[in-house]
Amino acid sequence: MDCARRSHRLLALSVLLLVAAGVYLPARGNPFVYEDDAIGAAPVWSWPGRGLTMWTEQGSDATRAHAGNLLLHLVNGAGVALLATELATPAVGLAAAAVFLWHPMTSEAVLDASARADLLVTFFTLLAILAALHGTAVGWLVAVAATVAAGASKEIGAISPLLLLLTVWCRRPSLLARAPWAATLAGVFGLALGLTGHAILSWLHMDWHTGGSVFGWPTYASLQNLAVWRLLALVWPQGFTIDHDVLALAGDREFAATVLTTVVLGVAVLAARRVPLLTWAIGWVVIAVLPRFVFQTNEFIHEYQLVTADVAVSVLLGVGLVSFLTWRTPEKAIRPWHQQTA
Amino acid sequence: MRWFLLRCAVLIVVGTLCVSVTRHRVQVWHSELLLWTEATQVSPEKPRPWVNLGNQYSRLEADTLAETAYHRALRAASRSERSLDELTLGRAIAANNLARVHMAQGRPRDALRLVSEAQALVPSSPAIERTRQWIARDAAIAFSH
Repeated sequence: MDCARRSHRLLALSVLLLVAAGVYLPARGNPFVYEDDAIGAAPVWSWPGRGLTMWTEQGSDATRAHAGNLLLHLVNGAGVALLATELATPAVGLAAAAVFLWHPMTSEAVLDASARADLLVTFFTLLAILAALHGTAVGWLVAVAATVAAGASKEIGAISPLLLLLTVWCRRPSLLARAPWAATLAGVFGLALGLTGHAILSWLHMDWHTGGSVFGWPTYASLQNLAVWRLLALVWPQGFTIDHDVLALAGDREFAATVLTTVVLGVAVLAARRVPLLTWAIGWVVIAVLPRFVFQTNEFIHEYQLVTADVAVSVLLGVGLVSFLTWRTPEKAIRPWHQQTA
Repeated sequence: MRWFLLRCAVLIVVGTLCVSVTRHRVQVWHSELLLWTEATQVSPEKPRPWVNLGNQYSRLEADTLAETAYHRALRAASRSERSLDELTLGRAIAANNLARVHMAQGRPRDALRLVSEAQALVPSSPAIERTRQWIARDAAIAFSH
């Protein structure tokens, strides 16, 4: 019976992946656009925080670059399915994978060849979490290697250990009691930061002439918050595009976004005991976007830069879809994890 | 059972809609011209999409359309609520690129005025300096004839 169910789920996931592949396959013929000229321009590992990304892009033309992004997207979709299955139910896993693979909110990360780094960070983060949740020594070793790889894919990959810790702490806190592994993880975090440290520290105070923001931190944070909400929640009715205008939305919407964020953070705290999945998802999104608030640049967040945050959004939407279909909330999705059987 | 089938139908419609929009995005990303045209429609107040649209028209030697796009960029960058970053960089880049279009149209005086305006906004830009030198050289030749 279990084998049959597993086969059916595998078949369903395969269908989701095939549909996504079919949708994105024409992108192989897309040319390099906009900032894609930088691909392959610098020697590999000349920028440690992006060395792994540059290594994968070595010698790529537009076709290979887009094919590579598509492959990463499909693998990430499978990763989302596995993660959501672990956190909720297999049905939620399939629904979350469908959202992640098909929804246009993740499309820019696939279609923009320059977004390879964000796809790699998402891939290694998912790999680290799934390996760690295995609870075996080999699993932790893989998790450690994956978090280092995330840090070597893009500077923001330094959040990978934090997302790993968040998920393991929420789902299986007993695993963290194994002190040697926690110490190793702390070391990995330091190493991941070290790979990017020389760049990160210089970004803390960038002059606006060299890519920094003209806004003071409170104004910048408020506008960045508006940008995150716009892309996560409002993009659908107002259009997806390569360049969103945050400043045109400022004023009342900025205030509304600030109120919404305060409410959501409050919900995250209040829901921690009764609906830990919700707390996990909010925590995931906060960690994924937090560096964008700390390091001020003259750009506000783009769609493709939210692909890691989209993992949690997909899981939540997956729960919503299954709830809608079955007309009841998946019990495992809301039951505190410590009350669930293994 | 009827309601379950209705819910299934709703999800199928939503799923199809998602896939259609994603498919449309794949087509838009096939061309940088389509990409920036879409950006100007979604974010008409932002200078950068208009500048990049103008660049695409320039590459296609559609000077009139490029000129219109650069003028839109200049208008968008002039609004006081834009950031200082967009007022200077957006305006300077648009002025610089529009100067090149004017030179191609045989309007050296307009070109010189615009590139001077661009250089006043961002004096340290090598790209604007290269434009100024090119215009000054070609304008000197044009005026001597």
